[in-house]
Amino acid sequence: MAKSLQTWSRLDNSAKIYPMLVNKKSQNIFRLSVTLKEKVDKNILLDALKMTIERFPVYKVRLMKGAFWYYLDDNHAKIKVYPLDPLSFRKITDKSCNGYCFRVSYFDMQIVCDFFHAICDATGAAEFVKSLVYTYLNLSGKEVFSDQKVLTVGSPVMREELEDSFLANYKKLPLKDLKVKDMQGKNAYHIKGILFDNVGNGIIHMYCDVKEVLDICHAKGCTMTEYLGALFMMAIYESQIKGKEENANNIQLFVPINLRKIFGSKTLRNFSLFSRIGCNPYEDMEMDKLIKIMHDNLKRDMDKDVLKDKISTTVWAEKFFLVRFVPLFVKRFFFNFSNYFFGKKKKTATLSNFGVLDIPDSMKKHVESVSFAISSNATTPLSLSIISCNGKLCITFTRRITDTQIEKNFASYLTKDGVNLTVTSNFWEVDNAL
Amino acid sequence: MRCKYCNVEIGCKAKVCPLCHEKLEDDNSTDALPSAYPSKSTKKERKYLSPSSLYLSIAISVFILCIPINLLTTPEVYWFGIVGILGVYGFVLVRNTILSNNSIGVKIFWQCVWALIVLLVVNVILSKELAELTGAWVWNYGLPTILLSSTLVVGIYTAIAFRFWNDVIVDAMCVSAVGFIPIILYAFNVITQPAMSITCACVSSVVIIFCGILGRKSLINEFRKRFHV
Repeated sequence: MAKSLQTWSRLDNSAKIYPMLVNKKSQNIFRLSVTLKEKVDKNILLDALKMTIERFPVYKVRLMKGAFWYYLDDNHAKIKVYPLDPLSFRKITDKSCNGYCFRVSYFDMQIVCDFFHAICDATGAAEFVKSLVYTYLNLSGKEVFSDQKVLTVGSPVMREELEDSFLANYKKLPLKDLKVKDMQGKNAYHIKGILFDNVGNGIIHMYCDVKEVLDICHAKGCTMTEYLGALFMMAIYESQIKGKEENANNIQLFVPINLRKIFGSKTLRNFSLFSRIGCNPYEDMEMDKLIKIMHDNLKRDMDKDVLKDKISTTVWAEKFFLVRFVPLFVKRFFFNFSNYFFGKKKKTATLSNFGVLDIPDSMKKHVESVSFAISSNATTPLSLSIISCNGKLCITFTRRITDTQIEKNFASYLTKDGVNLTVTSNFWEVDNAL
Repeated sequence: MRCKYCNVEIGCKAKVCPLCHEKLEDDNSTDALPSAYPSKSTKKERKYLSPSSLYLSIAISVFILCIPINLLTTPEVYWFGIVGILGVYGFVLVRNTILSNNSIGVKIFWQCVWALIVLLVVNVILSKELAELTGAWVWNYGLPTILLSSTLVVGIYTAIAFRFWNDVIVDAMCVSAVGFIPIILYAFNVITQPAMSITCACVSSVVIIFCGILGRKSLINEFRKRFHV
């Protein structure tokens, strides 16, 4: 039976945890920004945003507290665009964003979209950003065509876009088959450094030609995620552990896996799981070994059956009656506690490879570059995110510490391998750098 | 412009290399490039004293000042206790009612709880001086009056804010339901003078019936939303 769009929705399985982990200083936010070839007009951007948001009811929501869970309610408040805040990843609050769980900002030639993870992951958000930029270019009088790569304003909202794909792929398992042990694991090495005294993040972008990196990867017989992940672990080791620490824990990267291709989902909400990849800092510090570790772990964690079991485990936890009927304030306490032991303690850093942002050819000539960044916090003070578009690769480091040694080492490995890097930064760690 | 130490091209306006922070050889060579981000404000973000902190410091100072005045002037009644509890009530009023984003139901609930605590504390302090003052007045008149007022407030608010019917109707129902507590206490002989309790229950019934009849659909929808498991 056909149903009209509901005025509220439950949070999807993986989104449920994010509002509970928000504290005074941190919130799980990611940023997709598009640099155009000319200055952004804020009025046109606002018009484009007003039109685009109507096409994405899944994002036209306000996060609300229920008795047992958070939920998303329709939001009819006025939507705004903001000048880009120098303080990156400022919290997206009910007051500051009129209840919306995302914020669209502009600066010079950039359109910057920050999303709170509770409503979507980067793949879902990218559809919104593509649509926004497409509408913006259209309104600015540019001749652009969607080529079936953009969800254009006026196109029908599909049911699959709104689905909770975790529930759609959940299979009831007997208790003994649940992958609870996989959630455990050894404690990880934590990156050390002096934290910024304000809540901002330092951001460094490294731009290069995708082909240059792919050539290296082909020569080494690995994927880009494996190669850059191995470099990242090596950079952490060289900067933090080598000659400085004895008995350091394993370096463990959390790598999000986009489940859409594997399970054929078109959801615009969250649909990803993490792969935890660890290496021993005293035995595995050779590039070939690290690439093999990355490869083996990703291969293991991207197996459809393994993923199905993981999805079933997380959905089981959500559906377990003791969890369901616990009041929200108790859940908040419990989730924070478990996140500390099963999440933060086991994680050195996050490495998120978005992949390719596929935009129509007619848009490419108006887009200079695209970047993707995820917020970092005091316990995981460094994150690496990667995106490519139009043949240009953008590697972004976000950090909560003043030290840039890891980024410096990472860049030196890349340049030694023959990659030409162009680096930009928000210089959060130095005054008067501009 | 390249950093000769890191062997990377600098892609934005900068005086130093973003990686090694070494000064770039030609300061002006990146001037033609766009800034990657808005420049960091050199002024530190000013930290203002929040209204609740301001209130708290004034309330604590007044309370501390009242202790010696009380003990020196009227040592037979410890009225500084009343000042203290009124200070706490004021804090709840500022923090939870005026400044918070909580729903009207939550605000009224905490107002009722603290108003009742204030009455109980006042009763305990004054009963030492006035032997005839028993706790009965708190239960017979104090509690029903508090609940009657809250039901009236939420009822009127619901009627006025009919545009936001969905947001307030569950709160109106919950607050009105609490209005039956005095009549239940009367049934258990905790309350001995039923006049105010009956009035409170009647007003609560009216609000519940009106909300139930006029907003049945919204009510069901709101309950589904807020209590989904």
